[in-house]
Amino acid sequence: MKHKIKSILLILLTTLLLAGCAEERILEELGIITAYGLDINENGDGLLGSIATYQFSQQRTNENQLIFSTGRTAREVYSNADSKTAKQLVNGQLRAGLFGQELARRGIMPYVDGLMRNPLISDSVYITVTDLPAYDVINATDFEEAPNIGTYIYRLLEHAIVNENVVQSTMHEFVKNFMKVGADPVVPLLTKENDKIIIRGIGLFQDDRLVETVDIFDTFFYRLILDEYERAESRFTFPADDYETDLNNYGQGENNDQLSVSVHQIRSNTDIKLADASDFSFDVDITFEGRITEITLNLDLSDPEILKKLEEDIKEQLEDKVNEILAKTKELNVDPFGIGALYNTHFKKDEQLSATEMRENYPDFQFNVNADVKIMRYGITE
Amino acid sequence: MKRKSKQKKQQGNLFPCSLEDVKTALSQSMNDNPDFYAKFIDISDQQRIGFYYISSITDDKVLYNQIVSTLMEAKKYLDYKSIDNMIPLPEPTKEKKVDKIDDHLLQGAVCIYIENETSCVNYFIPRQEKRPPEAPETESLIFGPQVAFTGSIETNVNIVRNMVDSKQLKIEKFLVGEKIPTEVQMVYLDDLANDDVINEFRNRLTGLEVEDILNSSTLSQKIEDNPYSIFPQLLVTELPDRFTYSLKEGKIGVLVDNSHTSIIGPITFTSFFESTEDLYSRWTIGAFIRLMRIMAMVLSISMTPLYVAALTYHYEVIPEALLLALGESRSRVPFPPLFETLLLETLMEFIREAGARLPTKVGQTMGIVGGIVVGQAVVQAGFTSNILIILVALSALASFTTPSYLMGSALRIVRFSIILISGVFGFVGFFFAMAFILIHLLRLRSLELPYTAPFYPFQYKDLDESLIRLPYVLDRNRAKSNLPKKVGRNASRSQHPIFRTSKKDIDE
Repeated sequence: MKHKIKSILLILLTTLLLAGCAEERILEELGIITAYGLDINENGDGLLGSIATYQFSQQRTNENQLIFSTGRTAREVYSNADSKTAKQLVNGQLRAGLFGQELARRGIMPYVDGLMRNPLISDSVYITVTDLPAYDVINATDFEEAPNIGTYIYRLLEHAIVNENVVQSTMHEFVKNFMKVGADPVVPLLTKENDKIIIRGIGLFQDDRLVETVDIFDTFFYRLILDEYERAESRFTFPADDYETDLNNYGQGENNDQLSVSVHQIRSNTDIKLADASDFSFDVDITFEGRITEITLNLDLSDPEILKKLEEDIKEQLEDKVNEILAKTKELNVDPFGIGALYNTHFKKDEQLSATEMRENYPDFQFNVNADVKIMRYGITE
Repeated sequence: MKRKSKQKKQQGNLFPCSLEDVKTALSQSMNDNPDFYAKFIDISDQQRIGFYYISSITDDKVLYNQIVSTLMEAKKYLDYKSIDNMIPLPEPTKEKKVDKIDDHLLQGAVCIYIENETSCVNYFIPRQEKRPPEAPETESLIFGPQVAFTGSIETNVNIVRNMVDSKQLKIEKFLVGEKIPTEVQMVYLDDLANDDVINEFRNRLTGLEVEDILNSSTLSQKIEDNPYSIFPQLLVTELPDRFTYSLKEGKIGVLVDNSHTSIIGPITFTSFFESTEDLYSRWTIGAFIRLMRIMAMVLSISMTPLYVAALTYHYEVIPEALLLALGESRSRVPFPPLFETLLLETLMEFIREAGARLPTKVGQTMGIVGGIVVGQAVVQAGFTSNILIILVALSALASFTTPSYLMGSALRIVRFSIILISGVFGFVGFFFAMAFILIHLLRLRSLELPYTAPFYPFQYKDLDESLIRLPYVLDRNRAKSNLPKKVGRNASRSQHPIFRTSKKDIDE
């Protein structure tokens, strides 16, 4: 018994002495990074990093601290920043990575890869590009009730994604689409307005290079092709002349040559199917249901004829828009919708197109867009 | 020379001799204690009778009214048979040896000796200052009977007998302790309790070689399966209803003289989180409270260690909403989280211990001073963070929800070691400690039966006797893990009104 106790004590003691020197990271001694921005520096030969960290204090209300530093690699930026603060910089609570447009056009995968390899960093970090240089955007001082700019960006994007305004843009998604043959990443585009970060739209990537930005109105249609809607909202505008005979006599002022309709509670589903593999033709079937909440001119919606006409017009506009977008992706040779990957699923492994073949063939893809629009309700008064 | 012959006489046969000789012999073996008395009366010219007793433990009313005065009025030649006919007390014992007489006297007997006879006779007339059963102190109930065991084993057996009016109730009596024997009674229901378990318990009690035992708690620690463990393996309770309920479940109870508590075995880990309160309240409430206690136990041992581990090593797992609050309250604290937590936990233990040692009235003040004033001041002085205060208070409260005080204290001690190991190794240490405790629990046994039943070995049907509480209509079996002789409760389902199909409609 005594021998046993002795040996147990010995084991405990050796474990303690050998393994007991784990690196302590006591909360208040840390500079916890919540967001970081990367740009190309002024000389164009390196990176300019802007790092937002928590600053714990009971007196201050602003818990944000910004550190700017430069370096040739992201890691160097990080270690240079470490020498500019008394706290130990750690990135286990990183929420968002912001990449300046200029840098993003050169490719961001080296930096995303660095984040990906760090086991402390969550895969659900948001990857975004910024319209303005990232250091300018991250410098925004208005971040509502959020304690920190990183937390604010996180909440902003979370809210927009839940509301189906932008596409899902976690690091996981980004890397998945980057790695996949026949798919390209799409990320939200941020900008600063009135000293506050807002979402401006999305950025289309070819591999890891930003090639095009899309504004928030068109983002709706990109997302329409990419994913299904459960509760989205959008607006359609037609020339008022088409409805001249049906208009009632209110709200007809000077500028009423346009008829705008707001549709909400949109439920949609986009089904892309390979129609013919030989000439890369696809059927894009869109089902679209919604409720009209607002209409700028007084139409008698209870009249089935008028409602039908409206549905037809929305369908037409939807198809036009989708065709336009698909044509544009062909022109840019980016595949944000993963259609190439869809094409490859129809073939065995050795018959599938490789990444370069896919790039060569994508402009030849043909789409036959067909929308089915239904207006479910148009208000409670009939 | 004289002394030597006397001693020789004592060891051998003293009788027949004079009354005075008996007095000196007994007095000497009683170490000349002042409460040893002898009284001699003359019945007739030829006959003298001596009474020897220890006044502090004999009932003098019975002695004078029923023994001495009866014999004084006899006025005839007496022998032991006629004495027995005159005295209305049961079971006299005839003794010839002095050291045997000593034992009887110490248990409250009076020794009657007719001069020059070859033996004497003893009548037991013990006097015990009995206190009436009082309300339970350490295991208070809201609903249940407000009765606790008393210090007298006779009263306790009386309570148990009254609560279990059954021929099957079997009581076995032992004397434990070689120097100072204490009466111990093992109580069980003969048709339920498992024979192997009874034998095991009996062997533990009879095989115990100790000088003396203090009370039932010390006895239970001396006969436990693993005396080194931090967890108690026998349940010590002061509640007669808990005692009898356990008997009815096929367990075995032990009553110890001069002890306010009784021992119950075999038990499982979950027994410590059960209370008869759960049975008295309706099943929804009972089931909820039981689950809550288990949850409280887990929280009690895990909250502060997790705080220490997360703040020292794992900042990345702290939720964003908590991060700011934690960081702000920690920013003023001069100590590392481990030291901070140990400081506050120790303070909490000080308050508890001070409150427990002081008289009730002062103890309450202690709680207020300690809890509110010190707690407030500690935060304001920046010694600890306010979030830690909440966690420590919560885990202290949670540990007090455990109905068994022994188990509650054990858990608090366990918490200290988990805090320490979490502070050194972080989450790795925390989970290592948890695994260690789990393995230890799995290895523990109570009277050779598994401690972690019904979870391991898993007994699905026993879950309603431990973790949850079902309505009585569904509660048809005893816990199988006790190995009772009879599992079913002999309660037909159809006896409940809702299962009577021939019920009449209200308008019929």
